[in-house]
Amino acid sequence: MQTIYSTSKEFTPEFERAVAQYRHKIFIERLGWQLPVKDGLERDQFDRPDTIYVVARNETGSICGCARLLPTIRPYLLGEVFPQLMNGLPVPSSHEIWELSRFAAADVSDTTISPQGASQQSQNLLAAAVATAAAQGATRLITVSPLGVERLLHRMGVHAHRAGPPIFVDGKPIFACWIEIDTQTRQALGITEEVKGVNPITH
Amino acid sequence: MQMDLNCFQSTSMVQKTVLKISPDGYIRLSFSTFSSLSFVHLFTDRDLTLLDELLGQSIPAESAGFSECVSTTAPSITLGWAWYQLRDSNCLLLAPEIVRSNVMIVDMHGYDVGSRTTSNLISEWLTCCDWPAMVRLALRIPNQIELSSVCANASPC
Repeated sequence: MQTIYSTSKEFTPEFERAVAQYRHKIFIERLGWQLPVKDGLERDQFDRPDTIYVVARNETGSICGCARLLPTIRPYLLGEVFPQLMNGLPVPSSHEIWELSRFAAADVSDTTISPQGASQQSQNLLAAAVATAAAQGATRLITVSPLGVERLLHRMGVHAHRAGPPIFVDGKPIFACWIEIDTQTRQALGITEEVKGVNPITH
Repeated sequence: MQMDLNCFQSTSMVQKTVLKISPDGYIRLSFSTFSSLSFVHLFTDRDLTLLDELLGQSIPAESAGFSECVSTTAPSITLGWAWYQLRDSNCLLLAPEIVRSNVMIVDMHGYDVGSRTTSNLISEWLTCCDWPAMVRLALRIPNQIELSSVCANASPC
């Protein structure tokens, strides 16, 4: 698996479209999320030119994972759409806090992958996302996630905890989750080197 | 469905305790204060993925799921845990997983005991609660007439 990270302004139109198609396959077709969709592409108002993406590709070049990073000093998903998940606290707004969203690590072309293999892919992508956020100055991540993600994070050994109680959206429980970018999380994810800034991807 | 999780001694201390969210998102409190809080059931659901995982660990589970509770305080303390039902039994046990929360227990000096120890303490506290009754009520699982010995030794059933 090859992991690449970039702002979308560095993407070619074809690659940006491929990411939006992958997100449609995962979040709309597979998970049934109620999200804005147009022409089989999943994008929203937070997919801006300055948004940072971490994208995983398999051996054939097909996208098999994605994650989106947004600084909390600019409009972001939790701040704009789900502030009620913060348990009464103001939504974060800091250079040191970034939001992780649209996280998925699933190779839709590989139906033979084992649960262990899928778990390892998730861990690799999360490690890349955390390292990329840390390179931007993040010390913490905040996410809006389904409850199942919480179990995944704890199994990886990541230092994650709830910001508040879950609430139901479209019939499914979601919650805000803090991910501390500390020694525990770095060790759990095997992050030993810093990402040197956000580099343009090579096609 | 509103159900109380009655496993506390008194609410008098809670009424005098002011809970506050720390800047890092944790609600810090001593274990004795935590133990005195009242919780209400938020929801319970079955989880087939969890069941598969437990079976993969050779745990003889008939069904599995997770439950969520919140404290009656403001700000809210949130607790989530996984459970399973033993095969050929109505016995409900905590799954071998971390209890999820926004709590950080502090020691007598006010220092964090750590997220792992906090989870362990809450797990122990849960074993003293009648959360199985809450799950049965939520999922309409009938009460067991006779408890198996393994169940009675393991956890409240």
